Amino acid sequence: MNGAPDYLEPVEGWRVWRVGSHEGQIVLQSVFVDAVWEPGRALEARCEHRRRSLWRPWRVVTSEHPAPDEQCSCGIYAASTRSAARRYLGVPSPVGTGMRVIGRVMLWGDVVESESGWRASTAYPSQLYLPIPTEHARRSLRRRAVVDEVAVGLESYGVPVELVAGEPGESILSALSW
Amino acid sequence: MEIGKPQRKYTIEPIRDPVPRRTREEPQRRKPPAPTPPSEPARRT
Repeated sequence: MNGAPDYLEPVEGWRVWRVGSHEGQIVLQSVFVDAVWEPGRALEARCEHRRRSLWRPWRVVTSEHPAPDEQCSCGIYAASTRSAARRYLGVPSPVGTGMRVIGRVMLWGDVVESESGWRASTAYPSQLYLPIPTEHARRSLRRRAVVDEVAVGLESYGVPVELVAGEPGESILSALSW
Repeated sequence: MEIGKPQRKYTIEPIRDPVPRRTREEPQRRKPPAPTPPSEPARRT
């Protein structure tokens, strides 16, 4: 960043994470890219886009611009509304499986504001909502034990973690209708 | 994630660090259950 900032408070949006494991710790991971959100450390964006060199087309070169760039699609994403984010609870991930978590995320640094959300250079979760099994799934004590373990693991982020009734996907939408 | 077309770009430099401080010092852990006191040996009468 150069010069005086435009704002002094982070913007707060909504997004969905995958729950994964990293170095023996339960962590949040991005749904569409292989990025780990480490507890206690802000996530810094970098552009992962690659293109072929104009002069040496056999060479693949990485982007060199800082993320986010208005002309690119890089950056850490967040939707401006809960309803826009929650549809990603059920969208298949190209980089892995795992339980989904929806929550609020703070964004700062360089920020590209878009029609229904933001792309930012820096982010950290501010509130997490973890789906707990429905009555049917609750019969499986093992599944419930996994949810409890994940809830405890997510406390390492130092932000509120709330359990909401319902499964990832459409049935959780009514549980998130506050 | 679909967020539509870019509208504008700006910079945000928070006054306070948005990352909760206590997670840096020590991850929050659940308090282990208190150890149960050893049972008193039966006295001989």
